[in-house]
Amino acid sequence: MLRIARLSVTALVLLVVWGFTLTVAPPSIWTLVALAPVYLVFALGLYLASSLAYGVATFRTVPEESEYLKQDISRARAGLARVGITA
Amino acid sequence: MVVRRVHTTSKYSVLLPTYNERQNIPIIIYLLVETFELHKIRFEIIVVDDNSPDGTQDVVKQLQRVYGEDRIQLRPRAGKLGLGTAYVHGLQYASGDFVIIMDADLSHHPKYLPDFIAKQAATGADVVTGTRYGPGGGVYGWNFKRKLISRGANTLAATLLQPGVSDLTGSFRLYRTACLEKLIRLATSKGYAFQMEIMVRARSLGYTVAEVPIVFVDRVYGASKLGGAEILLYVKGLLKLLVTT
Repeated sequence: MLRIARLSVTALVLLVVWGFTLTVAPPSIWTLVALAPVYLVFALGLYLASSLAYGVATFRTVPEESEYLKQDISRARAGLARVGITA
Repeated sequence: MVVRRVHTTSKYSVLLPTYNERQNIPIIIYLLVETFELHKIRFEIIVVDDNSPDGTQDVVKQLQRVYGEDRIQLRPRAGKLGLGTAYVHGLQYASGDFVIIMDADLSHHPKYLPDFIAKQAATGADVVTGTRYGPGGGVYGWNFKRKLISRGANTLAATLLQPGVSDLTGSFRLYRTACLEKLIRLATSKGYAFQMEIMVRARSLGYTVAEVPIVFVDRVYGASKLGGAEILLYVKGLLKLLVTT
């Protein structure tokens, strides 16, 4: 099944459950149930934002690899010069 | 330095699409040859050059005389025709059991190739992808904004597409040749979404994917390759994959 079909079916099921719950929910929690989709969107946004924050915080900058690369480039240039190729 | 040799009888084809890489191509070929010879790995390097005006093809011909035309192939094209078609073009001439795709500008270091090969041998994976995000991975030369965009793009794609791979937009990968031949004909996205589409389709086809950590060294300081147009292209590609895979 295509991804979009799976997402659509899930959304439809959630919509039906939400709609049904609205009809049977007691008045004391009716507002809570009515706002459930908003809370869900907010929770998803919070999850994405925290995933992103964690991802950026753990995204390493590795300056020594630049130094290693410079050394390898020098070594390669010397090796190539020995066989008559300038780089 | 102790080198743990990789033992394999397979042959590896390295595809190097190039445009104006006169300075970098001899260096990356030197380092590739050095790495493969150290581990006694059978290989070939296929340079797909899009009619570079800076003499890239001339220096590749010099390298062919030094290393042999059986190991260094030059397969030029008439002009800049895009990355996907460069892979299709190069694959026609690949005789390896596995194909490695990587950038020719030294942002992807050949020293990681034994890790890719060993990982594939240990897991039997159809695809091994380099990841900048996993433990041991990283970058050099990116500021906070660039890292945020990169991570943001991958986080969004991972949430929507659930590919089971940490780095979707990276282009340092090893593929079983038959798998890449099939995947490349399915991918139609442009820009950064192209690499993402290949990976998502690989997972959809049931191909197994393993990852190895790599450090991406961006040497093109100050030249931004990530403008608004690129980002829009990526988002369009992402939405297309959401609907078609």
